Amino acid sequence: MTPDHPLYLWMLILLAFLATDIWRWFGVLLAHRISPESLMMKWVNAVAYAMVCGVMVLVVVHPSGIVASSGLIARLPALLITMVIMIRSGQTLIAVLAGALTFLGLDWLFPLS
Amino acid sequence: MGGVRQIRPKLTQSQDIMPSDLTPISDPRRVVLMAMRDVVGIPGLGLFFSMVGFAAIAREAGFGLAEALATSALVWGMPGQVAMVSLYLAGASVAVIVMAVALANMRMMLMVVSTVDLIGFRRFGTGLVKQLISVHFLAITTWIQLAVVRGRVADQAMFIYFLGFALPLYIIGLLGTCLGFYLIDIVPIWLLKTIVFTTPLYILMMVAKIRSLLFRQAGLVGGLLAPLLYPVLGEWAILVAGIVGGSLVMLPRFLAARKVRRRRLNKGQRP
Repeated sequence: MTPDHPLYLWMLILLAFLATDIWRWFGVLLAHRISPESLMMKWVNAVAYAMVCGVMVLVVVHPSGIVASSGLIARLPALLITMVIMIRSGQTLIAVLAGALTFLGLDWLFPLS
Repeated sequence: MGGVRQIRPKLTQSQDIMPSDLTPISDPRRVVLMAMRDVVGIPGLGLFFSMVGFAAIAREAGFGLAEALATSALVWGMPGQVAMVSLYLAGASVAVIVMAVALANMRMMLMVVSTVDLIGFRRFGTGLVKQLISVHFLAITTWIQLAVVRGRVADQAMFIYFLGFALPLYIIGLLGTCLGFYLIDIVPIWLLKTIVFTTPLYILMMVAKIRSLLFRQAGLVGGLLAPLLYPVLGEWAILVAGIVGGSLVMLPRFLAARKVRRRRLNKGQRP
């Protein structure tokens, strides 16, 4: 099927769906083979946390999509301020809002283009 | 992280703790209400505008509203969706696009294993088909939320909480994709960018709130490794950071377990 075929994009969407949900289905099957209290289950969880945090830090450091139109000079201080407030106060909402405002202010002061 | 630990209610006999902090909620109606209340706020807002951002780049890539909506509904995972749309825009081949989506969403497998454990599908004997359908609605936001409310919601009500959180979030995401097609002309880019940027901040702070020190350490190591590996490994950095980070924090436990096993073996050999 060539890219100019009318159903090309729909085939791509269907394949992307399978490429995603196959992992979800494997996950269900795998979960049934690992004992809940085992070290293996702990390892799987630890890897999942490390991966998710990796994905999220990469959004801050090497973003794609709409956030990519901002500089690291706005993104990195925003993350650091969020972390500092979180450690000091433990208030998720305040920490995230302060981080967002820092991002907004620095992106306005130092636009990328 | 000391400060974070202090805010958690200590399970002692102290007077200042409300009974509701000690007894997990099990009443289905209260659990659903709690889940829906938790969606409203940063999780829902962040996801809504992430999907608005997705719709914007999808439209730019030549997707129609129906195609963008189908992508959000069927893939339901932002990194994979963004990879798909940007590669399509760049004119990549089908094989390259599908591989990139598969790589970006591989973490789903581990998140699902963790979720199946958190919800207790095995313990409560949930049917396999029901499980396979349920996990389609899993997103990072939902998974981290389940980990945070664990203990506040009774074990047998975790599936209800999952449905009460994941399904409204799904509807919010699809609405965001739909409206994004039109909102993108109205909402100023600085506002959209800022709200989309709150999602990584929020998810990282939620990980910092997890009760398990081990998993917080895993998150810290993974979060430090991924940007360091990215210049060398590109998108594979996430996978490698995850496996290396997770294994690194588990190392002391694996070694301790081996020691115990060896000691048992030695004892067994003696008459």
